[in-house]
Amino acid sequence: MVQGATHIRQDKICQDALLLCENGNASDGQVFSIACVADGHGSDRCPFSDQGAKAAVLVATDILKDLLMNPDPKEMLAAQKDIRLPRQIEARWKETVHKMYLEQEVETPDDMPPFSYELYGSTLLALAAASGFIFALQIGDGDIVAIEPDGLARWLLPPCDHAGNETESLCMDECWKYIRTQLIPIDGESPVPLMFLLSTDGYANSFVESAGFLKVGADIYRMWREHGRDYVQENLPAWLSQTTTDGSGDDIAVAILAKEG
Amino acid sequence: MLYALKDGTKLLSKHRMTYTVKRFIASGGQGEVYEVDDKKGQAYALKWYYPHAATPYQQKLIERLIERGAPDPCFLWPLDIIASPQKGEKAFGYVMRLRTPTYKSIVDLMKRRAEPTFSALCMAAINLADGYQSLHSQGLCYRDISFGNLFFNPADGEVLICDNDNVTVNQDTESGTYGTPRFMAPEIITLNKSPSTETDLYSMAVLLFYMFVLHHPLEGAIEANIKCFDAKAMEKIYGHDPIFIYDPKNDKNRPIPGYQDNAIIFWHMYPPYLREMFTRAFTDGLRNGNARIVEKEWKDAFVRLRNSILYCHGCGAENFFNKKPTCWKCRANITPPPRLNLGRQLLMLNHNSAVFAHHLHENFDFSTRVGKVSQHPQDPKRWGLTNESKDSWTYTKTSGDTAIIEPGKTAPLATGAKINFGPIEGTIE
Repeated sequence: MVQGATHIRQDKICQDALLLCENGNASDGQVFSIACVADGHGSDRCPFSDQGAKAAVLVATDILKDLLMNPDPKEMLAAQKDIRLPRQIEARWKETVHKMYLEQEVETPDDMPPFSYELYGSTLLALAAASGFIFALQIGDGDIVAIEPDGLARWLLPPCDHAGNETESLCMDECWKYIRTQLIPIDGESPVPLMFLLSTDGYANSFVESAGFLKVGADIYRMWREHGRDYVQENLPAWLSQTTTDGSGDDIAVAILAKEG
Repeated sequence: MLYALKDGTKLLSKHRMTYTVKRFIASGGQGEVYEVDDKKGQAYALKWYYPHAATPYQQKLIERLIERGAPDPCFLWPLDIIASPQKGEKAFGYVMRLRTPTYKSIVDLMKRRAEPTFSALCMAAINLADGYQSLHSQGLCYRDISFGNLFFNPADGEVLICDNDNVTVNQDTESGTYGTPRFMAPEIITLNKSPSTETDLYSMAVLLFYMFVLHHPLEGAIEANIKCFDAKAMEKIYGHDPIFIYDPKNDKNRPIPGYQDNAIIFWHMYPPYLREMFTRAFTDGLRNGNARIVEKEWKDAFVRLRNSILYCHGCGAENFFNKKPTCWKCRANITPPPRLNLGRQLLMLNHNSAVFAHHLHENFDFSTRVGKVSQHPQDPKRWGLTNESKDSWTYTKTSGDTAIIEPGKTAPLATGAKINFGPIEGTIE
């Protein structure tokens, strides 16, 4: 995760958040990995959106973890992905940021704006990979991309099509209606994607065309394959810093899930 | 697995047709769906099974369904079968009609991405029940009625029923399809019973409840208070201990305001007869398969609901007729429009109402229009019923005088007057 070039110039803190969670202990339940990124809106109307983004990744990870610990998580997700899960994410995120507001420590309480969810507005992208399926969830801008065995990168969920900086957000009324989900069964006999990449919109917005962004996803996979995970992990912050400086100027959070070996 | 078939792949079907893969559409539990073109450029959908689902049993099932043909045009039925072009690969798929984007899902309805009128929603319910009635009358069972396989056109209520590849003969025990959680009948969950037309009726009632109340009939306070909604919790709510949210004898599971508002708002909007039917479906019908509401009852109820739609003069909202109608939206009192009393049917004569073949023959034909409410061209205050049929009507005034209403002519909407349509006579109230 890197702070956006514009945010550094304007002395704004990073509004993105990222959280990874792995459960590799099969005796403890299911083997799974969860990656979440969120992009706090960062505008004047959303002064605490960095906290909203942190709340988003925490809430999503927590809820998904509970679901994935079930004996049949694929069936649970299939039953809950359209309505119950999105509603649960909305309710828990709103409950969390409201609590954050009540506990907010400020130097001059009079300057504290009255509570609204917008103060904490954020997007959310989550990906869970487990035995037998992949599950993606998204509200607002950002990209969840799969690098397939043919080396090409494709979106798991179609990208949002909004004008300007408009984006769907967790702070919206009945935001669960805008949470998009995709459950993809993985069959043991079939080729599976080699890597998944989740990124906040600062990344894709740094490219003039979406093809350029997708190519970068494929390039990262190539680096991973040729030089290994540590090399990518070490160099990714520098690549992202360069990308935001040359491109959107926005914060960038990137999470990568890939099968090793 | 993602994208088993690449764009441009050419596939040869069992019926010796060549299809070209145009694009990936979506993936589901059993496979992926692609848009394909035949040689003439006609677009179809191709469902391509994941290897684990591409079993000889499934292939045989599809072949039988193709042979049998669709029970009703609303089913996106398998038309042709395609084996994998790769030698030795057991993959296969089947071709069906392509669903256009005008058709929306129940999830779209829930998320307000589709906002049909109540009239269109009633038509969707009638068409849905009609489709399943045709299927069941052929001794078939759908096995997996749920959110995911019904689509409707919000403009007119036309429906499309997808994922027909699990259809079997009633009470087949060979199939591994048991349904979708939350839509499965309790006895499938608790007694491991095989899906049947009876369990289909339960799932259909859940789907209808979702369409009209935008909520699950068993998700009330009990569901709201569960923190960890795991498999055990689901088995309890939908299987071992199901309680209808408006069970008149058990108030433990009422919907919670602020969390389950759709249920509270919509439930009270509907007339008592419809609420009573849903109550029956989710109380007696929960445990007793014989007590479930059959398709014809649903069709009659939704025709009655559709006939009773009237509009609020203040806010324009659709409401349902009763003795003292008050708008559910703006709370204004509504003056009902004239009504056509056809004995067993009472049709509101709104500015946009029409008389269909069904109103005369009770045959659920809402595609043949025989009359429509129209405004007098010179005097907008005068309304009438224009004869759009091929037959003449006999109009009897309250004085007893009669007049013939030829096709194309209009009968005035005068209280007490009677119109003899041929098969049936109606009175204007």
